[in-house]
Amino acid sequence: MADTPPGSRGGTRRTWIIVSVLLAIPIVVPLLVNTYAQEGPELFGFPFFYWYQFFMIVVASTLTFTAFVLSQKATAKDRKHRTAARRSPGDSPSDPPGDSPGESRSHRGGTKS
Amino acid sequence: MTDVDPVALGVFLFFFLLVTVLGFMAARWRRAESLDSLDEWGLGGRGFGTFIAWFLIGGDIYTAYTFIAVPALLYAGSVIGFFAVPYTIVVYPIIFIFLPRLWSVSHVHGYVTPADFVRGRFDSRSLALAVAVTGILATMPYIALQLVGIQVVLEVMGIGGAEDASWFVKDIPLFIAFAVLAAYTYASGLRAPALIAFVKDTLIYLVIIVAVIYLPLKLGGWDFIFNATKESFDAYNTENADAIAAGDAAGKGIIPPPAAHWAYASLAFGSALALFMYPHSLTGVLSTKSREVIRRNASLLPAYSFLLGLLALLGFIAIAAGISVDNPQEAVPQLFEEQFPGWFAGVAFAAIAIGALVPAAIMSIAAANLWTRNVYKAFINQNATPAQEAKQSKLMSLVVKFGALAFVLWLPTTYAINLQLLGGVWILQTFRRSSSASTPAGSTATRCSRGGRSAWSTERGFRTFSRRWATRAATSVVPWRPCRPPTSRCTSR
Repeated sequence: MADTPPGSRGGTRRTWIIVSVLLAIPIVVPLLVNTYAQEGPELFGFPFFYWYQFFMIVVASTLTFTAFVLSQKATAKDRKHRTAARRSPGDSPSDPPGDSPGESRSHRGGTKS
Repeated sequence: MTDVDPVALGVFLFFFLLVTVLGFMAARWRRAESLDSLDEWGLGGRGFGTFIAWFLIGGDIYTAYTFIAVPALLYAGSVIGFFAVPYTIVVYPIIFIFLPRLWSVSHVHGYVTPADFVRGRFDSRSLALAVAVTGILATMPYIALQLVGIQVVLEVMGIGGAEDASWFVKDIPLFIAFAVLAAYTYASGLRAPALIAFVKDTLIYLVIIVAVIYLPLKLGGWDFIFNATKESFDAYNTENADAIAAGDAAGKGIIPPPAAHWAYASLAFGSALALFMYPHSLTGVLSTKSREVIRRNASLLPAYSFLLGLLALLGFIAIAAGISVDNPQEAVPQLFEEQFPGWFAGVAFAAIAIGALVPAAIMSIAAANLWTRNVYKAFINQNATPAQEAKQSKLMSLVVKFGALAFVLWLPTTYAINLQLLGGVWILQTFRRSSSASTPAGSTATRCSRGGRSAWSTERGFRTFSRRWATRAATSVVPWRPCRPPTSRCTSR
């Protein structure tokens, strides 16, 4: 969240950044078609264009799974932190009322108007 | 092609009966107190875990049409059809980012449809109505596409009726399949496709794995397959060099030429953005029991992408095996009929046909829910009880399927791909730039109806404007502000 001071939320900010990067890779890399639209080198008779894309499925799936595991841990930490913050008001700025749970867990700040 | 192989037909009928029984039994699966509410009938009780959701969302994304059309594109020499692989890579991180959030909001407010979400977000009944109406309209031709998938299989099996038979006799098997589908969707709701999806995917995985191991061994390896395809395409290019130079025909190849690189990338990205604007994709997601299920599935669903890639290559295998069909959509079914014993061909045909039934059921449920929530409840009967809502949705699921059947019967199926195009055009109308975007859509449709480069340019055309529409929708979803405070934080876990 844009108004969250860095380093708060139980120190999960760094984890959320890693998660973003892990998710950005499988979105961007498959779209760079000129990096893989070629015939060689072949693998098991498959031109590069084909085996590389199959290989990318495996890589993307692994990255997304890593992001999932990290996000689970960060979410648990965030939740713990929030509960603690709610018990002692004034200790840390809590979420604005009416915020959806998804929003409060999201680190991608700046989108709220 | 007119000879009916009794073994293949028997196996096909066996699996069709099996899913019919499953479809009706599904009403009692994960038994709820009653099916008389949209949460139960339309979203399967909102309690599906990772395992079931994997099959159900898989059934949403990888439809029979994908199984027929993608290899057909490769068979016809449009390597651009392989964009389905990067598309299904890119889509999952996007799901991971956006859908858990949409799930939470929908869960807290009890939203069932995307139009519910729009109504809550923009506080406008009429905008929600526009989203609902275009959603219903766009879903009908999409269901029709699934029926075309079944039709292709029936034709290759030789039970589509004789060439000179009347249209009615010719389509009787399709009517039966369709009526059965309508009946168990009515009775069991989303539980039916969720349960049938197990059979569908078991069969499809089995068929594809066997095909991609057995066929290359039989034909002489992947080396041979790619070389044979290349030779065939090169021969075509030499033969039609003049036409290609004049722009009257498209060159064929197994690697996209530099000019097509961005088309390939934008097809993948645009399709990924567009996917979850279709009402049925959301139905599968909202039926899950938690956000974790969605995120975990984002990393597990790519198993289907692998399958899809292998399936696409069946188009090349068909070329290497010397399959020659006028309608490229029949290439893969024909491949199975010629290269495999009857019983295995029957399994393959059943896999494709059942692969059509699952998404068709989910789509009709999604469209029915749109009607109930955003037309019936919003305008006609604002105090509708959950039981009345469920009743409306059940009836509407029948209406939507009849609409789809009308599309199949009245529009020539050779223009099947335009059915998908129509959906894209209609669903686009809810967004501001609709008037400017619909013009190129119309002209693409006309151009493609004349055949020739249809698959390529239609796909490209469709993806381009669906992308435009999806981007608009996505940007309006991101800065989410709830209009009302959520009822309880805890319920969203």
